[in-house]
Amino acid sequence: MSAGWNTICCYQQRVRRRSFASPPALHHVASQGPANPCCAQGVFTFLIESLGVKNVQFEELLDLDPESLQQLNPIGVIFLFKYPTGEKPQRDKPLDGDFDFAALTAPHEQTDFDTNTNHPLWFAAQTIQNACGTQALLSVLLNKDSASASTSSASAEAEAEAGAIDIGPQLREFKDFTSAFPSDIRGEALSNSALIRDVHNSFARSSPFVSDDTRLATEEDDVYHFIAYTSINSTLYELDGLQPAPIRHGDAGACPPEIFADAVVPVLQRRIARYPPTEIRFNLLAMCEDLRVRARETGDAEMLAREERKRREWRWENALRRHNFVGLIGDVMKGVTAAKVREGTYGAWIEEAKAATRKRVEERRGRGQAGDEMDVS
Amino acid sequence: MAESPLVTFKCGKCTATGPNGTKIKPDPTPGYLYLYTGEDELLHLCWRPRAQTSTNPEIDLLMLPGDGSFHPLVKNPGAETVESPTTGRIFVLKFASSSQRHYFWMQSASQSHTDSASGGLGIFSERDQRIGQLVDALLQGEEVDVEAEVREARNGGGGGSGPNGDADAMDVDDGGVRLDEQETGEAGQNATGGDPRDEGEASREGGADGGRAPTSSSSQDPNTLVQNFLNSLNRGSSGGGGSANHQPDDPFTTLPDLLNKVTTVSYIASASAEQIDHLCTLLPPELFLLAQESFSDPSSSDPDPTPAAGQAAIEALDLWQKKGILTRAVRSPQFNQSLGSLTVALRDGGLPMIGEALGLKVENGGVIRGGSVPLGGGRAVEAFVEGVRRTVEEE
Repeated sequence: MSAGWNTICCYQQRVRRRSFASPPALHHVASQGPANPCCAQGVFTFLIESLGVKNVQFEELLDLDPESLQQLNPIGVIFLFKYPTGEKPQRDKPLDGDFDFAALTAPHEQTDFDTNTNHPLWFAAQTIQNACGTQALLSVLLNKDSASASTSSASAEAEAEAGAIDIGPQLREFKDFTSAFPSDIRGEALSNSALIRDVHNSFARSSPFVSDDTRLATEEDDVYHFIAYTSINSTLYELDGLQPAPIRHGDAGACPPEIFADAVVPVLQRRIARYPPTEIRFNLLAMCEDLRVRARETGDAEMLAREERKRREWRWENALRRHNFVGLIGDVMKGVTAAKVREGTYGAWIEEAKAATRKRVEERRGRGQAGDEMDVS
Repeated sequence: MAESPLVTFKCGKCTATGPNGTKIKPDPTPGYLYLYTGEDELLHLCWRPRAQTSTNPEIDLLMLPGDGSFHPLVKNPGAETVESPTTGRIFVLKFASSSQRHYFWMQSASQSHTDSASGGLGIFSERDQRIGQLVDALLQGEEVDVEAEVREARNGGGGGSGPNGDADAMDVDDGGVRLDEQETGEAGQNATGGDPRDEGEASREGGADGGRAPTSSSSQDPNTLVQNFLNSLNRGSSGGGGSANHQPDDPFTTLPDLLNKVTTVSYIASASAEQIDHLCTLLPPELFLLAQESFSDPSSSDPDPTPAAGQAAIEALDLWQKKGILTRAVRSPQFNQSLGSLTVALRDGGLPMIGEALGLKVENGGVIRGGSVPLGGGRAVEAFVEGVRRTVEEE
């Protein structure tokens, strides 16, 4: 058991559910806290860049709509949700789709539709809860790399069509190293990889609470889980490290990459429909090519500007997330205190804060929850 | 205090004076010494003036079982008569975990009729001793039938009783007590005070063994220390169980409630250029580089800028821009999460370390008076806030 995997708690945010254009209708839930900029896409993008992956980014999906997903030309989709503690991993049959154990042990028999090569499926059984986000990312990345033997330009184009990506030397090495391992050993190898663990932790928040951005941990232990969906060997797979094997949706070979967006949406909708509408907190991220690259290639200046602005936002959030605020809090506290003492408003300031705390505790009690002054949601 | 006290008796406190604090001077204020079990299931030893209500004791010591001991201060240990070397009956409260001492003097009527040199005012009657033994037994965590003991002490005990009887010692008058109420035989004003034989220095390093303080704190960056402490909380508990133990009737307040956005934003708006420049050094330098970045070539900027690059960027921006960046930072969810996180750390015993890391003058170094246990819950936050105020007032 490796030491020191921190939780990436920005993933574990309460996300506003949007109304979707197509059924099932998910109702808009007014968020109770301050509006959260979704930083999961920024975190994931920088995380994989730090692992050496080139020109791949994440985009949050606000609409579960095949057209807008298709526009991104997705390599895969990451579905992140609050793991219902009642739902245990199914050993015999998944709730939807079929386990594909064959894909685990031998190179997949079905050939790719035009390159005629067998790509073994890389799948790791997860060993650490905290690592599950990174594990989901890797399960797509390591199945989508352009590692096939073919080097002709025609194949390279075909690979680009198929969504193949440059995962960088370190991940290629990791993939080679683990290619012969069974899936549970791959999970171990992942958690033991110093590179992967260090990068993961550098993006994780090492703070004690694992809940909403201003809400602090209480007795409810929210456990968030990450699942990846992607097309491998023209087959739609659900890759969940807590399950014993990849889950195949639809027939083998029935999902070439160009129809992935169309194929995955109903699967996601069925999944979302499994949870009570009021209970679920989830987020959807599409993994796609770096949109700035596409903007430059197509000469779309506006899109480029937009994407650059987005990147700056991500870097801003990333800088704040990694920052230790203790010093700033100390000095702001001193400065505010000094000002209040000078103005003669110190006592009133304290009393107002105490009243706000009390009020929140009362409100929680009124909602039938344990009064917890640390819950500022 | 929601619980009723286990035992209460009339008692005064003492202060340490003289060189090295070895002289003990009784304080004449009439008071009560009492023990109660708090909502935290821990035993509290408290002292309050009789004129005050029981909800606000002046001394409230958290007693871990076995840590404290309560004995008469005697001039001839082992002698048949239990007698303090003074004109009053002095009890001493000692701790296994620290060298702190507290001295109390019994204010109930002396039952002694002995004609000794000091007028016998320092002699502990059997009732007096019983009371002391009861307190001591409770401090050891022993199962004591308090009611029975109290009854025994009241009814038994040798040597007659004064006009008010034994009920005098443990009568608790919670109503308006007249301050001029006189007790016979009080050791009070004329006592010369004891000269405790085995006393050393009274004070100890505040916070030195509080919480998880590392040994060589001076060589580490304070921010790192606090961050390590926060990390240790994370690994030690399964998902922040700390808040479940806290007394909901004493929440005080939280840092997010104190440093809410209205407060922090208006502070920044009115801060001086000097204050702003200093605050900027406490932000990640990348924020300033991002602000400065030319739109046309954003990919050239370094994700890990050097402090020098950061400093240069700060200097290149004007006051208005810097205030904008600070405002955005304090409004960010990341900053607000940190406020919450630091509050949790304070409540979970991190006050001594945090106070030291931030250079604050926290009372008692952030530990409970008389012990080495850090303050916790809302009281720790309160002590933190008080510490900040004391620090800025002295600057």
